[in-house]
Amino acid sequence: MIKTRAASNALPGTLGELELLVLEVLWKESDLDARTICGRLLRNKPSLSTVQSTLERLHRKNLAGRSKQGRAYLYFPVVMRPQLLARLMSDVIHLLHDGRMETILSSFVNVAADLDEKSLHDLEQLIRQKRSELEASVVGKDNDA
Amino acid sequence: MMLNTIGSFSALVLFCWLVFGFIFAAFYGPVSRGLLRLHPGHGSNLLLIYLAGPFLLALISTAFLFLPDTRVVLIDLHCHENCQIHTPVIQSALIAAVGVLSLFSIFTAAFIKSWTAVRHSLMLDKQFMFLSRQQTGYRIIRTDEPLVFTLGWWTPQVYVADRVLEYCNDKDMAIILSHEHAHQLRKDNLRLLAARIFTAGLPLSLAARIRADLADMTEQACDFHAAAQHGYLEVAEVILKIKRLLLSSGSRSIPFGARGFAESQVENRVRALLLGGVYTELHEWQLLLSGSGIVLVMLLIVEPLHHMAEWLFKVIGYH
Repeated sequence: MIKTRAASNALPGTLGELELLVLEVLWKESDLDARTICGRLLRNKPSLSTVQSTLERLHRKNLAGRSKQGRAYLYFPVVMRPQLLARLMSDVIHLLHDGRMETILSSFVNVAADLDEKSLHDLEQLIRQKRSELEASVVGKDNDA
Repeated sequence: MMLNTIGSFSALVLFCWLVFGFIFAAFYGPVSRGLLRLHPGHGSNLLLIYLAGPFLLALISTAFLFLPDTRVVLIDLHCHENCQIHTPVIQSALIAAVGVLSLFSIFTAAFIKSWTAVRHSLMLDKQFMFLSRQQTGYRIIRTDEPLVFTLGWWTPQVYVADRVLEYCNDKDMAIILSHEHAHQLRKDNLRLLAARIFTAGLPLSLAARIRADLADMTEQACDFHAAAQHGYLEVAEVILKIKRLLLSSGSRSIPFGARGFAESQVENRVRALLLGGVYTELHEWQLLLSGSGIVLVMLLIVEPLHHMAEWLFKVIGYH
């Protein structure tokens, strides 16, 4: 049994729903042939040929490896769930960086390193100062009352 | 004749769009300064309307020019003796076809651009759905990147990295989710997509400046939404807390300069929150007055537009 292809240069940004479902099957159990994978896909119930072409695409994207056993290929995952997510996040951050994600995704805080330590510190200082002013004015009002 | 009418309509819409676009772009500086003084919720709404203005104004004014009823009321009164009801129409089928094709090409390009973004968004959405787990009001993703974001247009979904959950207390999380919930309610990603389409014809630096202003106002609007529930200073503190976490994570620290402006969105947001309620709120009567003013401009513009079209088509020799 010869395992082929390493995990590199995969593009998770182009993964379709069926590809994800097939990967999920492979994450649960490795070294399965297309027919077995097809039987384990509960949603959509795709045909065997659809699953075969999906596996072929995953193989081309270096997300699934395969080894020949008899006349059939046995497939195994090359990338596990955390690695796939890490790649996806990396894609997202770089798309955010060059502005291509601005219409798709709103991040709570932008990812650009647009503030240095001193600026952060100054802003935190401003907040503390404002809070002190507010507290002083509340105390002042209480005293007046 | 139908082709000539549609071609004339298309050519006029394009011409007016170009002219209005130029005028609106020239006035963007003072307008943006005014909008930035408003509550960011109102400011971002008005900025989007301002961006859509040149196209909508061109479309509606030109439609008035060609609709029989409005034409009689708004234009034909100017006619001198022996003047018959008329609409300026390009006589050459070839020139008319160019007008139609130009407008069609622009719409097709805008559609393709939007569709590409829609496809990308849907794919990402599916993948994040698949790789995350549902919590009440948001989904958790297991990643070292300390990100919180809202993804999608019609039914945006909030995603929170588990690293952020570990780092934040309940109150911080309530503030973050309130901010993201505002993005969901306002459908901000859709607004930013619309802004990208409306600014597509502008010079790149101006378009980037406008989109950055809109993004700033949008974030500030959501900050104010959260601040209404949790307090201005509290929201400012959480923004800095997450920014600090993001910068300290270091793994994929992105060099500053991507936005092309010497401003920090985070700094603008914190300073806006420190100003708190100092922003001007627009009253309903002010909006009504502005709306009435725009309608009046559209009505008054029709007759000069009619003359301009007559002149334009005469100049190119096809009227």
